[in-house]
Amino acid sequence: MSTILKAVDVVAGYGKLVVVHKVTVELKKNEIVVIVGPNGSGKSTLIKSILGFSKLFDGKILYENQDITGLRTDRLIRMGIGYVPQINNVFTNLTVEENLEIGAYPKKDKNEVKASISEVYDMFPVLRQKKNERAGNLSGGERQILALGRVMVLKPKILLFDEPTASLSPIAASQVLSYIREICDSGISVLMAEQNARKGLAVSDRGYILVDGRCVKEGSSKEILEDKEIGKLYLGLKA
Amino acid sequence: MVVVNWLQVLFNSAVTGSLYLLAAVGLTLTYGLTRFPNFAHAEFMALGAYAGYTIAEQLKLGFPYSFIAAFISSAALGAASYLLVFRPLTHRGATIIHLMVASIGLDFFVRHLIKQVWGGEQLSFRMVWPYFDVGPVRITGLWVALILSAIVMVGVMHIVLTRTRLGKAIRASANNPDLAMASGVDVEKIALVVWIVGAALAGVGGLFRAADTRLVPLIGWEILLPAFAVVILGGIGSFYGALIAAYVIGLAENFGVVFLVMFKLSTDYKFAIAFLILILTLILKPSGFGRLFGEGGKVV
Ligand SMILES: Nc1ncnc2c1ncn2[C@@H]1O[C@H](COP(=O)(O)OP(=O)(O)OP(=O)(O)O)[C@@H](O)[C@H]1O
Ligand SMILES: [Mg+2]
Repeated sequence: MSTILKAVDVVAGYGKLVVVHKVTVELKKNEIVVIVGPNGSGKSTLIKSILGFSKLFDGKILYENQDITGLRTDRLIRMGIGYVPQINNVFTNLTVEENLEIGAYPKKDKNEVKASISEVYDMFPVLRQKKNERAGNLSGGERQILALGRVMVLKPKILLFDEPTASLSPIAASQVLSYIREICDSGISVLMAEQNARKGLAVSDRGYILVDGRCVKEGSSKEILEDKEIGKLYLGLKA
Repeated sequence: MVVVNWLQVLFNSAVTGSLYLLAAVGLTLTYGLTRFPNFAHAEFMALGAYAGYTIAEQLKLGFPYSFIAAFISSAALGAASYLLVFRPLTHRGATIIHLMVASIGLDFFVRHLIKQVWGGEQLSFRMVWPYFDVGPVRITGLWVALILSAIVMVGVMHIVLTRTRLGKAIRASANNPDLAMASGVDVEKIALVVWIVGAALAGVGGLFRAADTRLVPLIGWEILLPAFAVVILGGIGSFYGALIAAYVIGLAENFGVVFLVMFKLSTDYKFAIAFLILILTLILKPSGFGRLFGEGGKVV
């Protein structure tokens, strides 16, 4: 399989603070890759460095064999990179439909926008039911689905999803993860960060374990899940 | 016993409210997008007033042209302020305090430029406005023009904010600029548009104030305090909140003056009314009317 995104030797942080120390992650076509690790280990910072939301001190970002290091966020989005942040991932003052319209912002043709929003409604029926609801009034699970829908209107080539299951009920979490599986099956490669290591690894193909901003382990998700030592040491998984 | 023409007071409140609304809309919207209180907004009002004066009184071209001149000159000043001062500062990591102090500096700079060009003396519009009486209420053409300008502005803004791609992008960018960028919105371009429109409206507000009273270099500062009171009472960043707040403060000021007279106090205290409302809002309900329009009051 060919590589679609590669972040090479990333050193990233905020201001003068270095949070991520020389980490390399790779995403191949049609893969789900998960970054797991304890709170504050730098998962979000790593993903943000790809988009320009954290400071990239050193390293390179390659996307479809192009060097995209330092390109402006709105340009990256137009190139097919979809991003769902960990927090504040919907426009709370806008309705569900308006959120999707902003998601489709780079498209100028009104009919095209309508068609792609309607496709998103077919994918996530709950959004159609609540299309005139203010996003700030949605439940946590609905919000997360809207956050995903906002990205899907543009049909990105890759999806960067920071904590798909954060603070969701077990049922809502499984629902979001099964959507991610479907999205990947439809041809979109997914790179996500997850605190819930077991759930994250269960739906993904490969994983990276980040601890204190350093990658301590990478491999197939199955291999990581089965490695009891790793599970105990870094992920708080019980045997 | 003072005889009060209450209907006149009510009408005057609409006039004052319309003026404060034109002055405050840009202030609240630019706060929503750029996240700092811009004190140089006072000079957007002043420049509009002086440019309008030149067209109406020195070139004798009539009020409609001075209206256009106020709109355009202040729009240009708004664009220049954002592009040459505030955007570069933001890129260099300036905080809200840096930006606020820079805006005070810019204000001084522009005010002194205005003094260089037009002098520091008080100027007044000589233009005579038609007037008529509706029942007990005296109405002048200038006041009608002011109220109509505010109504048209509200209508256009409402349609733009709720119906158009640009307007939705403005609301989205004010609510969550990072997420807007992550949706492909060029947030700085959106901010520039808002700076231009907000400054232009302030310029028009300044012109109306000057035509109604007189013109001095500090004219912008006279309106800035009530304009900030409108912004805060309305909920910072909220267009609809500002709309209500402007007329509430207009009413408070005009009825307040009546009570000052009744209690034999100096009407100079009228300037304290907006200030009092500002302080009370901050103490009692810092989100102002913003929450009426949804979570966090960010319904621009
Ligand atoms: N905007 C910021 N400015 C300064 N430091 C930050 C900022 N965001 C995060 N940090 C710091 O960077 C470190 C890593 O944070 P990060 O959010 O990347 O961790 P994470 O692995 O995503 O954690 P979580 O599982 O809680 O989401 C933390 O110590 C955090 O305090
Ligand atoms: Mg995180």
